[in-house]
Amino acid sequence: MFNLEQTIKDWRRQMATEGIKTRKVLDELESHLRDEIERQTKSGASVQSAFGMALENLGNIKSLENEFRKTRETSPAVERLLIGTCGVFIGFIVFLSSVTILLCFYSWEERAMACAAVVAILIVALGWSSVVPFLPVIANSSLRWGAGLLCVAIGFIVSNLFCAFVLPHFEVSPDHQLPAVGLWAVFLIAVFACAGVGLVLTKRQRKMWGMTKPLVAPSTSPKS
Amino acid sequence: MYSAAMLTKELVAASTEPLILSLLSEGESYGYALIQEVKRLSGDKIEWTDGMLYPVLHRMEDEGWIQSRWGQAENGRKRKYYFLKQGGKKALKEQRDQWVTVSKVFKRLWKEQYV
Repeated sequence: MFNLEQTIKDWRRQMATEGIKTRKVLDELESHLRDEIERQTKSGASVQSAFGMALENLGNIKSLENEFRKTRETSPAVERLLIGTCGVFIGFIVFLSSVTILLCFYSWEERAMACAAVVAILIVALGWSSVVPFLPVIANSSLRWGAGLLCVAIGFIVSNLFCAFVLPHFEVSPDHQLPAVGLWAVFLIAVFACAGVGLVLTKRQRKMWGMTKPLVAPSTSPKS
Repeated sequence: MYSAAMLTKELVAASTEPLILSLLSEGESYGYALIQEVKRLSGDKIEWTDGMLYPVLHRMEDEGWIQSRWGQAENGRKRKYYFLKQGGKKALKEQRDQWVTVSKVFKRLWKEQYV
């Protein structure tokens, strides 16, 4: 004899095996199944055939799991953590650079040069989200992460090249370790790091954070 | 993702979020009821694959448009209810404006062509 409770238990186990493991999601899908079974049985179907029809209407487990996986890409908690990390990072830049400028540079020219670099870094940190919409969206996850990390690595390489070939042209007074222009090396890292992070973002994440291109109405030609 | 008797898959997919937002603007509801309501309102022309609605609802919840709570159905079983949040109201307004614009353009075009 058909045992609905046991069949639902088996179905939950099968769903978990196929990848839908979250209890709350399974609870919600089970609630849906029971609603559909109830409707079918009220229309005269047997419990067994109602279960079969409800299951069929629910759709293919694999594609269902794929859809749920997309929603799990980045949880709101992770996003909050990322935003918090950015805030701490910006605060750290401001603090460290202020200390550096005050303690290490004595002439106003050097301080101005260092301040300009810090402002440029802050502009990059605060304004990078406006540039993200213009970066390509890479659908493939591995490729996306690869491109992002490569971009960050390029930032460090370019910054090192800057330090190796440009910095030596600037004079360093005996009590200094680095000319003020050296802070521009950090700016280069910031630019490439922000571009790298932008490349890692999926289309959905960009949409969620409002990093999408502004809609432009198509140009209209006058009717003849 | 969806099967529709009359509407194309793309059109059904594009209208899913505004439909859910519109239905929830009338009051809280749950997945099964949303599916049945859309089916009824469209005269069976929009038929979502049942299970596929839930990832959409979860995504909309992630986007801060809707919120859910577990409650008890009239038959005593537990059920997950969704309701609109402030962000959802804003999203609904934006999406409604867009659909109304498209609808107006079609209305005007087809009126000019066939009247």
